[in-house]
Amino acid sequence: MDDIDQDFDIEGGRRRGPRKKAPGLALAPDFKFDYKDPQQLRHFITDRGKITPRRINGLNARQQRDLTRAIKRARNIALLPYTATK
Amino acid sequence: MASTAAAPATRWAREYETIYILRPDVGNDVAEKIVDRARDVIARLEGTLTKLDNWGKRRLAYPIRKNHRGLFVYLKYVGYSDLVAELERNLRLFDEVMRFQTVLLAEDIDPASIAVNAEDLQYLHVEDDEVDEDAELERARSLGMAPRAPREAPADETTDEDSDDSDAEEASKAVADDGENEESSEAESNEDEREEG
Repeated sequence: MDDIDQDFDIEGGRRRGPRKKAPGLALAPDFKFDYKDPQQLRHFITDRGKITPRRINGLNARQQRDLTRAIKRARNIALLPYTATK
Repeated sequence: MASTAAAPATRWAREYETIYILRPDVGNDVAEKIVDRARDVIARLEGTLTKLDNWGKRRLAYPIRKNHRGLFVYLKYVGYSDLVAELERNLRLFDEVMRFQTVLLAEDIDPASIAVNAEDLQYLHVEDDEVDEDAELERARSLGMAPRAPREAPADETTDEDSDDSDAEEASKAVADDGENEESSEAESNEDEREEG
């Protein structure tokens, strides 16, 4: 019960204005992520193996889609973890 | 099987790449046998193999079938869609193939226009270069995502035990977690300041 309340307090309605955005990353406009290059992709996952949100990594929508696709492919072929313990 | 000859007009092909992972304990002969099978399948279905690469034994990001390492083989080829299905069916038949993945690279390729470099097609046996492996492990450890040390791994390899390294230095990642904490605190104050009219 109080879990829900807490969630509401943190998430609900209180935020003034939009979320703060990360500065955009200066990637080449036609830059593509390569799922075969896990070292590069590791910059965009957290310690736990999650994909970082755009709010943090500063990618634009197209790049984020491309990144997500690449990370998921890399996970499938065991180049990146699905989860990791800290 | 029923792969008929090419139609009079150009039959557009597609370019694919397939990576498959073999169990780490396979011998060279078995690995070669699987590559030969892949070559056969591609040739039989009128595809063209354009690149064949052995990445060697690499550490897996997570264990697959209780193996912490795997032998990665990379194929790049041009063919038609039935080729992928047939190739994957064949890979599935081998018990040694732990995982495979095919990705479409390009569409609408004219099969006549492919140039093949013959030396890209040789399957080279890669000895595990421990240096590379250790560097990778170290990097993974510094990022805090190294898998737990494979204690129970059968002693098929040379000693892989931990060379305890001073890590945690280069854990400076591009991911700075800003913007997360500030917003909740600043919204908190405004609530209580209502006055009574």
